[in-house]
Amino acid sequence: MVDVDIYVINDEEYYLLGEEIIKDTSYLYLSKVDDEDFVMLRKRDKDDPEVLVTLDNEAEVKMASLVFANKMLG
Amino acid sequence: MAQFYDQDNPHASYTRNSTASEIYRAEERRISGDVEERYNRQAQSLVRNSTSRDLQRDRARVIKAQQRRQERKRRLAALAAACMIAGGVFVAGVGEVVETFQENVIVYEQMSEFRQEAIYPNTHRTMDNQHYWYDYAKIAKELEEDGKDFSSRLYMAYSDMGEFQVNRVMEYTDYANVEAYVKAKGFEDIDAWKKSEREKLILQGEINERTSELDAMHRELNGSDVLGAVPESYVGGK
Repeated sequence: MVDVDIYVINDEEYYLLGEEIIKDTSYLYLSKVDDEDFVMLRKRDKDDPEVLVTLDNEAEVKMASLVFANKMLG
Repeated sequence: MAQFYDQDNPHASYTRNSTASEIYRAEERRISGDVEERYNRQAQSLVRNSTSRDLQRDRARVIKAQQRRQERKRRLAALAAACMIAGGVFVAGVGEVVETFQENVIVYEQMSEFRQEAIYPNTHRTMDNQHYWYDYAKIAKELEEDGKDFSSRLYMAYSDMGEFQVNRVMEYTDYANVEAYVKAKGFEDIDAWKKSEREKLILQGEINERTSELDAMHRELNGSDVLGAVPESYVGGK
């Protein structure tokens, strides 16, 4: 058994799959606890790290996805 | 194999009289269009709620939980493969992409391609062979080609021809000049727009480079059942 971080967002639970910093922005990769076919990407608000905000554009989503896949598959 | 002009499918835009190279290029565009569309569909279904016009803000509370390691690793590997497909890219050393040298190479490659496709064919010698002139209307048409990113193409034209010449091209578009365009798009000035477009080209270049590797991987994963078809070698990670 290992410890995992679970983020509670709007009363729903998400596994923290990973977190990476790319060019001063911290990206989070989250998966719904009850839905394995779900990857949610968020970044931390620079003014308030407890607030997670949506990514700005598709290019940012693609870059974050690439980093995530790279990290997970080593 | 041969397809003739089809209004509903602009990627298959060649005719009975097209040359072999025209047919090849049209087929190439059609195939790359199909690949992009397929991955975009997967991206929408797998990486959800990732972008929004109105910035979505969630306040997060963190709790600790325990989970069996093996299950978690298996889940992560499957999700990584899914996310990789959704992102439309294959794994690589992303960190290195930010290196200036590589950035320059990526931008240069894309600009060379654009130059060959849109600028050179519309650059002509004067009668005395001493000077050359641009066909502004045709270059404007190239910038506005359906399905292409106008802003990126404008940036490449701007970098190649300079502001004065590109402003003449802009007279054939809906914008008076480059400055009017970047202001209309919400940029503070041309420099801010150039920086944004350069970053976009770098990301796009990286994605283009991986497309063939991704296609091979997609075939390996056996079609649309991405999670169900993750090869044994990926399950459990390293």
